[in-house]
Amino acid sequence: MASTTVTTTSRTPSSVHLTLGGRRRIGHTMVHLALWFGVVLMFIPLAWTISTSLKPVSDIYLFPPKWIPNPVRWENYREAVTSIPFMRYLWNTVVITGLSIVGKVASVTLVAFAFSRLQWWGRNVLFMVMIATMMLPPHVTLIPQFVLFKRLGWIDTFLPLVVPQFFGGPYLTFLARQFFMTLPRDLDDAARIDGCSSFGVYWRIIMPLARPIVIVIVILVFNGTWNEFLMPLIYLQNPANFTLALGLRMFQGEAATSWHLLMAASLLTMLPVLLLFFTAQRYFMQGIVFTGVKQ
Amino acid sequence: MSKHLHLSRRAFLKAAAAAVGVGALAACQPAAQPAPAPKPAAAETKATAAPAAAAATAAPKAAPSSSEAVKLNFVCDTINTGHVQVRDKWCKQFNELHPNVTVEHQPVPQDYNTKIQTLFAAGSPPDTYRYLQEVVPIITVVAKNMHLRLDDWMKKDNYDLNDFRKDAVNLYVWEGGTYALPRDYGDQNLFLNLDLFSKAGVEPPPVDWTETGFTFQKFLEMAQKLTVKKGDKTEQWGFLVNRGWRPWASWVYNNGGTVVKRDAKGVATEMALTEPVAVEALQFLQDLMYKHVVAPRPDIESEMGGFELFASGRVGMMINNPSAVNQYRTIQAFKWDIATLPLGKASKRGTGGGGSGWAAGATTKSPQWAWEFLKYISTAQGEQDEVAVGATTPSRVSVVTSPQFLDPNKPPAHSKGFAQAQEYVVRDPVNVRWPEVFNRIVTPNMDQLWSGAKTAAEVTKTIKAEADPLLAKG
Amino acid sequence: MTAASRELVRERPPRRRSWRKFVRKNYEGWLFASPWIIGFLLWTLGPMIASLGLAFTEWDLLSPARWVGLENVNEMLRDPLVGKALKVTTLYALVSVPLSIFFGMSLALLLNAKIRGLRFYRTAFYLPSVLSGVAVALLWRWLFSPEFGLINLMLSYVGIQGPSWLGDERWALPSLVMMSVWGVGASTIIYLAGLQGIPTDLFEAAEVDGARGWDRLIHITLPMMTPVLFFQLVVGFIAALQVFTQAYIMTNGGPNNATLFMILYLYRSAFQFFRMGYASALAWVLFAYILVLTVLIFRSSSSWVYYEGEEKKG
Repeated sequence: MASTTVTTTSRTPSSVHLTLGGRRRIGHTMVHLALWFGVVLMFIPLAWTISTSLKPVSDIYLFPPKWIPNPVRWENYREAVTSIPFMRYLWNTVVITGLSIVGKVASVTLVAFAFSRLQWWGRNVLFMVMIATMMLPPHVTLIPQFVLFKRLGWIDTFLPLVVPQFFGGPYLTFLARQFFMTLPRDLDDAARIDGCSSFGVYWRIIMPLARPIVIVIVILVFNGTWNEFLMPLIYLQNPANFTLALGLRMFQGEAATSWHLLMAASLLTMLPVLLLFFTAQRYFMQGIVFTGVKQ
Repeated sequence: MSKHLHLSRRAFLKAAAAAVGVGALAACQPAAQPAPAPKPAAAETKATAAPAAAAATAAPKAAPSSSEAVKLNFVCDTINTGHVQVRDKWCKQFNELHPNVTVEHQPVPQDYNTKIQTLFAAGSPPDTYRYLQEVVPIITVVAKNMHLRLDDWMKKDNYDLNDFRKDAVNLYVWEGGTYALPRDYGDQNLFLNLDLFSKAGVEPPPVDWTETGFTFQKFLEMAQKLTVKKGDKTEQWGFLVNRGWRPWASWVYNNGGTVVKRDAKGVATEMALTEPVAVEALQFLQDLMYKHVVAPRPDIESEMGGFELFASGRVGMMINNPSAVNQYRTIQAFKWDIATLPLGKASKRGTGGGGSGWAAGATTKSPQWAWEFLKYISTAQGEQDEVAVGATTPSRVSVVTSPQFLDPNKPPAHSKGFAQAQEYVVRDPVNVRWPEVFNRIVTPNMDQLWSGAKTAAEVTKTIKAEADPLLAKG
Repeated sequence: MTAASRELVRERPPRRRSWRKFVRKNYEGWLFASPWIIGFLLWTLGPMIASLGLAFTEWDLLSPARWVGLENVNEMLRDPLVGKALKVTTLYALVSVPLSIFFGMSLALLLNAKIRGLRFYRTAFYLPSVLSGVAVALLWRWLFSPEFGLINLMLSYVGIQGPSWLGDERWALPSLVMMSVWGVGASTIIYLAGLQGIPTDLFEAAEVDGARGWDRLIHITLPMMTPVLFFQLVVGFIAALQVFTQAYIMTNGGPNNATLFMILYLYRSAFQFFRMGYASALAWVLFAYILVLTVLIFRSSSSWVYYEGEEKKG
């Protein structure tokens, strides 16, 4: 019986699309230039947000806008954090987001495995059904779903927001399935020949290779649930249960908006997501991955 | 097989089940104590000694005396963080007065209407909430039996409605029944940049709603003097057309027209915008933007909204309502004040306005306590609490004329105009189909007026043709 | 390939006698997919069926729904706003999706290069999807402002007088397309994950064969990326045809219905006009529309999407 040895081949990103040799430096400069143009575009809203968050109220409406606030009001941040129960909302959001990430990663990868690596009756039909559930606008299922959760007694708890996350999700399942289908079959077959069960293939072969896509799923779920607004709005009632996204809206009123507080709170809310994204980059830089099978 | 990854399927499932269990526990925990008692946004005002206040807070004859625990919810939109804190305070104080009753304040930070409608549609209407009749007309409320009918309770307690503006109370009366207590009653006023007026050497418009000299023509001349052009670009505008519904309707009223014709009951039966006086008023507004060019076109105004343009000192006059005063008070760069709206062909002025009320859901488990709570929050003290955090025009005469609301230390200097204008409010059209008519027919067609695509005559004709059949069905 | 695995490949419907065999062959797939299947049955299928039923009623949310059969469908056929909304939505999708894929992929390629400050760049481009929607909307309203906005300012340096953007019937929709392309950085991580997955031995082999950068792009990268591109195409269209928030916040469907997206119209019908039945009918029409489009994309996929891990049919 053939023994299986695995070689590692680096899948690090390389500048393969830039020409080699002396032209590399020009290529690099061009890339930097193009990127900086984009970066400036991306940063304008952020700059405005930071600037407004540090302004005294009277300066908010000046035009042309004063980019450097004077005086710099760091107190805005303290006020933002104290005029709403910021820490409470933060905790609620952390709980919901954390549970959602766990549930989503687990369920989505399992289901994607079924759709990509297993053969079973009804697989293709169910896959289309799953995709199709993304096509119905949520506004018309809002009320029936609300009634359903009301009958279960789940209104004003985290349950409607968290429990469905443990049962897959079409977008991410589709994404994971696509990724899984790029992985060569030989690994599966080799493992099965060695007597591995399906779960073993899932856990020992596919999941380690799936690290980049799992990171992506974590980032997407984090960003999604951290800023999710409509579901918490509909299902949470007691303000002690509110998430940050809901809390932020409190600064926006029908008659007036406290822009400086809203921007300060928005920035604070943004930081964890950015931080996660920044640190997760590590896994997109290395990515030493098992890729070949030598027999 | 690798010795390291010893996790069998069973172990994995066990771990997953544990995770779900922990999650379920966390989610099922009852909500912790409500938000900590916050410091009031502004110094609380002592209750005014107005007799009306005493009458309204007098203990009702048949005091509800049940000792069983009652739990009600109180659903509101947030308006601003100060209001959220005021409502938390009300619930807390009510609980101190009646320890067996807990009213839970449930703020809705956005999409308030969607949430309220979802609650009603799903069969779990709020016990008490802030009722907006632009969203659900009073006719619909009565026809679908949505609210608690308050008359018997009011009779039992001899509830005194005299301090409220009569028109405000009538907003919630239909077919002899009262279905909400008034909270606020707003109107439209002219907001002025006084510095620009003095720079141009122009006398600001009058502040008395009974005077008759401030005509449309006078207004136009004022706006023209306040408009400053530099070459092709306009640096300063005399006026900013507020394209909101009640502001433009005010011009129609002031010219002697109405928006709809009403029947004996007060239900709108057909559009009346095609009458010459109405067309004239709307054409006047369009001309301000396109013919006389004293007001910016909508696309020019749109960078941050009308208020921001005014606040940056480039607009002489604009129309707004009193609940925006908080925001105007953040302006430090120049002095501002309010004035009356111009009077056209009408014999007396009219202004768009209306208000919201406090209502109780018809199926509330405890009508008597819902009523007690409604009474509690609509006292003069309750209205003063909201005045202290801004963004409201009280419906009680005693409060809207009180020094706390008028606040001579802060602009506008002529804030009594707000109170006076309340007497000139013309009620919004009442019809079951009005929200649809308004959103689907009136607004898109008026967009064409504002964009200069069609004249007022054309727009109003189209509106009438499309809206009348719907109104007739209402 | 063994006889046993050949059995697996042929997905036959069961016969009485081989029921047990059928279950034994297929239970694993069902087991692994069960989280989604259970969730679907519990809280997705029911509300979907309910909304389908509602499409044949007139329901004002406050009184019981009234059965009206096909009246909603009739009304839709005569409603000029429906045609307008479908046109607006389709146009938006047809333009924004290819643009987003093009820019997203290009950006990912740039961000995959071994240059300094990569982490910083990637995070910078990810910013739009993290920023508060309100701040973004406000900023763009200012950027698009005809007299004071940055865009027209820059155009004026080049001697062009910019239009009114959001206030102009012809430019409102393109403005929203521009906004969506600006947010393309969010999809970059998906492209990056895909790029990560391309084994470098392919590139090494190509280099040995003398292929240059451009050839490598066309002949290795793009083909290997087709699974991801397919994904972005499908979900891109599904999302673009369901755009709501931008139109709601930025233009509210105007000016003069130039940005009346299908879902905006649907939302208004449900929550502003109190016609949830009609809204449900609109929703299902949109659903059918998206479904047909997606099936077409799926059908075409076998000719241009390459999966390395595809089952060998034998």
